Amino acid sequence: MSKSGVKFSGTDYGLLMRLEWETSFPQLLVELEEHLQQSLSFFSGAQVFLEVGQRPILQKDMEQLTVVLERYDVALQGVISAPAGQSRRPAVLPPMPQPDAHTTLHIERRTVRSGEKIAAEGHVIIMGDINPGAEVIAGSSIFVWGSLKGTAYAGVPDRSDAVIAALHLAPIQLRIAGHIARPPEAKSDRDSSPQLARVNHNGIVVESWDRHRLFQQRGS
Amino acid sequence: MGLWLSHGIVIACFSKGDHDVAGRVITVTSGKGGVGKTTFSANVSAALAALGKKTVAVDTDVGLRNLDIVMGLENRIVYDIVDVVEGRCRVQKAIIRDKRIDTLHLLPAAQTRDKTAVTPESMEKICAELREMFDFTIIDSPAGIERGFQNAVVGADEIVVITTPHVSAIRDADRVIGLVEAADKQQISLVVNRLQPDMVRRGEMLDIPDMLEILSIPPLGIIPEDESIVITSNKGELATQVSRSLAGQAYKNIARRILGEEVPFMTLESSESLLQWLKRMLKF
Repeated sequence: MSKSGVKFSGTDYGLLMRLEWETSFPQLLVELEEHLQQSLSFFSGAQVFLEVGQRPILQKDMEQLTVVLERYDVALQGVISAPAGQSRRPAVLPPMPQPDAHTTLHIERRTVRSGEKIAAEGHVIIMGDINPGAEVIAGSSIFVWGSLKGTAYAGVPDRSDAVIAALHLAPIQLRIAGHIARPPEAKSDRDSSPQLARVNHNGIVVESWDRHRLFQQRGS
Repeated sequence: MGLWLSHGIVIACFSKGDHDVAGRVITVTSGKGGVGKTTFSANVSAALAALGKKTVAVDTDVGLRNLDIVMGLENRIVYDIVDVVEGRCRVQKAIIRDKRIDTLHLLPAAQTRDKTAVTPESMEKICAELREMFDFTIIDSPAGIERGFQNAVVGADEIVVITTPHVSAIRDADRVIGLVEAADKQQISLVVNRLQPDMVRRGEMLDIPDMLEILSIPPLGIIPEDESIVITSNKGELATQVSRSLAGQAYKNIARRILGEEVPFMTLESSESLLQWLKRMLKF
């Protein structure tokens, strides 16, 4: 095969897709599509990480890429970018909730703005930000692939095993089942890592999202 | 969604004006009051008119009309928008032509009625008429998100959301953007008014990247705090006609961007242009 601008490799955290940036972006998309076309069965249902190295990737390119991946039923798990001199571990590898017979999954792909309210019975996943003044209410857990700066109520009315997780957790207020928490007064640092809030015997506690194994343990 | 994007700044790129096609209807709105909608409407209308575009500024703040005062046309009002809606005159008759810039016009609001005197349906009709008559129709919206806001937005092709670097103004702008998006208006851009670069530099005022991150719509312009605006608005003079007004220059730049020109953001600091600063902040 000729030298391709798209390379796949296996790593300890999953399938990695690397884009060679000498190739122009439209060309990359064509080559990616060829790749996926050649190994339809291999990629169908696969979960990949995208490695972009130090090159910035524009949102419109990202959107096009997502469309291609979706067409071949490939799930994008995360994006790895490497600012000069930093490690290349994925910044984010949180577990995603899986819908089951008891819990539905509600997904929104947008910015939830002030004054908007999203309510659903099962898990709620927001692919975007929840801005201050917006409310998201879920019968089960809430996952935000973006910044949570508004208000989130999980486990309504009484599921205290529900969690609230966000890539950037900076809410005005959190509620899980009957528990209410406000963030500490001191401003958290902007580049904080993904965090997850859950209920223990003391009330709501916040911890690192990627350490959390809630969904792997389910059924025990 | 800060994770995978290196932020590229997209300057709102409106389609270029074309003489053969119908005019563009642009609504200026903010949610919060006092952020500069009326001043913006008056001055951007004047700047577009000065660039040779036949422009009408429309005041939809029925009951609290101000645009005529800021434009210095208060004493020439005979008919107003409510007269048009209620069929007492045709829209041409209510429109006042400015004497300083002969391509500039005003359709005033009524002062003695309230917002319910105009319906969204009648507003759509008026916008359709103005679109045929003018290159640009600039609609000044009232504060709030009720009937007056709906009237202002319903007939628009493009929406300009204006905010100041204050948390409450941004919160309201976010609310308004949500409503406008829900109404399926595709062309939304942001103007930040009354920015004080010194305060931003000292970390005492929200900076542009923070506002863009929250509101996530493309910026159309940034207007510096400028005391001379108080004087010109009070006198009914247009800041764009005053040669040394910083804000006036910002309004003129915005008018050129609306016409599709790529105009760099103004230098608000001596050492570094705002655009360079923006790029640096966003690691462009």
